[in-house]
Amino acid sequence: MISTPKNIQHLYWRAGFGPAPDLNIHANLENEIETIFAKSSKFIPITLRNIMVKPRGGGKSKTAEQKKEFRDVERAGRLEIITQVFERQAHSEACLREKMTMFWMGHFACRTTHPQFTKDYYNTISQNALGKFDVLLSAMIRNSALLAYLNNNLNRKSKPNENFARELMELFTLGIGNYTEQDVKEGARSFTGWGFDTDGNFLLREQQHDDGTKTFLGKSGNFDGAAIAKIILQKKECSHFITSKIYKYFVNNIPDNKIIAELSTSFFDSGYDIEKLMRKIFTSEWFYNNENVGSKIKSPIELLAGMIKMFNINFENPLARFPIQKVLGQVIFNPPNVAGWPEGRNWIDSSTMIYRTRLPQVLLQNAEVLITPKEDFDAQDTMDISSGNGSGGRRIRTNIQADTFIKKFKNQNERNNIGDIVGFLLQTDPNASTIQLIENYTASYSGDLAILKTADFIMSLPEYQMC
Amino acid sequence: MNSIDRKKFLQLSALASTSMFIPKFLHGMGTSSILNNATDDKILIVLQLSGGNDGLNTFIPFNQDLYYQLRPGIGIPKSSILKVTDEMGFNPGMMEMKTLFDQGDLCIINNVGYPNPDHSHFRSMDIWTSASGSDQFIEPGWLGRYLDASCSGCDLAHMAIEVDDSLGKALKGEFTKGLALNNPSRIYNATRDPFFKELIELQNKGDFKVNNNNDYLYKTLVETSSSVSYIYNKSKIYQSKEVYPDNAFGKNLKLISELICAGSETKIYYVSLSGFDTHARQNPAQEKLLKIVSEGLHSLINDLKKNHKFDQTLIMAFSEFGRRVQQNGSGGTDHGEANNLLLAGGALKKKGFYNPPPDLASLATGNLKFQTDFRDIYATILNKWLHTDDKKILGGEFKQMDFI
Repeated sequence: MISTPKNIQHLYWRAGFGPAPDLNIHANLENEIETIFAKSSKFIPITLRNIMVKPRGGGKSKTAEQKKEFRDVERAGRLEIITQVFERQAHSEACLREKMTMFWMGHFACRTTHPQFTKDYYNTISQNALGKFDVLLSAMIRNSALLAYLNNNLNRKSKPNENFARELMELFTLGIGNYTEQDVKEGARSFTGWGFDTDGNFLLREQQHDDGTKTFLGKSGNFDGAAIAKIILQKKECSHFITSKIYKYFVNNIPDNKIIAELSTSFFDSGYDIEKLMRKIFTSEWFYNNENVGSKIKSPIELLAGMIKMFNINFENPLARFPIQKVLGQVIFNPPNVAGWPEGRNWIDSSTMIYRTRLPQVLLQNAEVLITPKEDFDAQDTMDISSGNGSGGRRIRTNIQADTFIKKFKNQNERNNIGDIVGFLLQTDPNASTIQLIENYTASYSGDLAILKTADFIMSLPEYQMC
Repeated sequence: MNSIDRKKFLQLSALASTSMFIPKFLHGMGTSSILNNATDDKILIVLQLSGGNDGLNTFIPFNQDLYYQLRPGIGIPKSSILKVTDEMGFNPGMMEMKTLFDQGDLCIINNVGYPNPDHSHFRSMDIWTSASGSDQFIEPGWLGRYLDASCSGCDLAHMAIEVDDSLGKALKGEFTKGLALNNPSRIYNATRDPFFKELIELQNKGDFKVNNNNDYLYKTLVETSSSVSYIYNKSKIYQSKEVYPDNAFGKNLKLISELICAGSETKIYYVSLSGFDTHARQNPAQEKLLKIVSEGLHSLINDLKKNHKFDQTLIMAFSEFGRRVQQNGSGGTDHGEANNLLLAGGALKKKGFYNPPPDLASLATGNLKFQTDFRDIYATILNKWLHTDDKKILGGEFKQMDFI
């Protein structure tokens, strides 16, 4: 592990949402790793002042006025949560906890809108993001948002619903091929009656629970959901499945089977200690190999949070991030389906590519962005945050505080610092003609503006989409 | 040279110059597929009605007493229904659609759905756009898989266009993705930004490595720029004189018409209209939407006919599910299951209604039962219209129908 600026930045891109403008790129790498773990050790829950009294349901008996009031309260609560999450992703010192939380939100993929449920979902994941996977799993199989999303409230002794049990094995623990259809059926029986009350607390409905004998993954007994999770965790395939997913998310989309096998064994032997696994990854020589540095395509949230952090970007309307996330293909608490967000090249198509390269101008220069995100079915909710001026677009207004960034490059010679800015903003080197092109386009600027313009052009490059 | 000729000449030369600037990796690989498509000029337009259109109030089985019994508040009175057969009539908002029906331009397939239907908009739309079973997850969209299979290595994004700001699932293949745009000049200007233009020109000389993600981004950028200028130039050639509904959807249909009439080599157009999730006070809202669809389709088809393009065009309009047969307490309907699906085209072999009217006396927990799996329709379109291996794309064998 060599303490180079590129490696330090690599660490911050993967163990967080990118470097802050005041990052010391000449720091000692090992110390930085320890700093990240230390600052991420504490869990602070997000809070909700706008307490929702009752969740959805029973809506039919309400008057239109009551429904509207209910929707407004719900929307305010959701806004409160999302604003806190956005703030943390861009600015929290506990960057690894935030990054791991984002990873687990893709893993335990869940569409959730109810504020209290959403808050619990986020907090449960964040609290256990760097803890033990068995503890995290045990909390998630009792989580109201996830149980609701996967219809386990419909899973009753008289009429089992297999959705939750199937996804538990297919997506959360074992992966396809490591269980049978019979295991799904028996697993579903074990989760019958597992639900939640109107406040989102876990609730076992005894009379709906099937307490007969089940045979699951070769074992027999009067299992409930907790017992099912325990049996799954005894399988080394579970450790391998999780490790492989973590490797692809934090290291490289292309798996290295030998490394994954080693990591998976030690993850299993450690009793599913997530923090140990992550420490092993970040302190391994191979993590800093050329084929891993700058090899990943940033997710929309990584891209957005990275720029917001670097330039201290403030949105006049904090919800303006929604239409951006939407056209780029990643809306928080709203994955496309139970499989979570497909990573890597799936982020890229012709229109997202154009939006991505235009994004710096939009955020740094208040350039007009004409985006009309696809309407959601839940149109009520998206209307007020994304509706434009009728011409099909809207201007996203921001203000930036780039002093720290500018200061970093100011004391050097006026014109030859482009290489330093490139080095700080990019993890993959552009070729000489691209750098020359940026020089040509920024030659007429001087002082602070020259630095900002240079950064703007650099971030418009495809190279900036990589981390 | 008068001014109009001069303008056309400039457009043609702009076109010529664009094709000359097509990066070299597109030459060779791309040409074979273009030639293939030149001999096979079939075009598919998919119209997605998002939210779950109430098919029962769209194409209405007015002769069944149960229709009025189950829908006392929202059943459309016989006197306002636009009757087209002894059993079926159209929603009053669809005057133009009735004209199309009477001309033999339409085929309406009753009772379309899939086994174990899902009542969630998102999930059901997932199922329809990926052509999966309700117990399967398939990441690439069904038309994206068509692009992958038929167009391997050619990567011309403008072969499939979604007239929208962002690309939905249907046109996203594993390797090949369609192009999303609804305003050619806006996106063209974005790619003509001087810095980007120069950046893209720098890349033409380079070779792109398949496994390198950064190269993949540059390749996407270069291809996008090339496809966008292709479409931009095509969009300047033909100006429709038909009157389209004065809203975004009407504009989108007009763009599709102009591109087809200008001879764009695009095979697939995809466009959506949302708002069909009518849980409350359904009738005025739905009628308004259906009127837009009806007027828009009528103008589009008139354009295509005048330009002798209708015979090579097939239009399919679908929604992710139908709605509950019985109305709810708010003058609307809740999420349902089977639904009807609309086809239009000059080469339809089966005109009028396909399948008997929905049987309101035989419901599955309040919902219509399906008779035709939507994947039978996809399989037929893929095989008989797009001339490709439907089994490979759908990952299984589905029934070949006889509407084309």
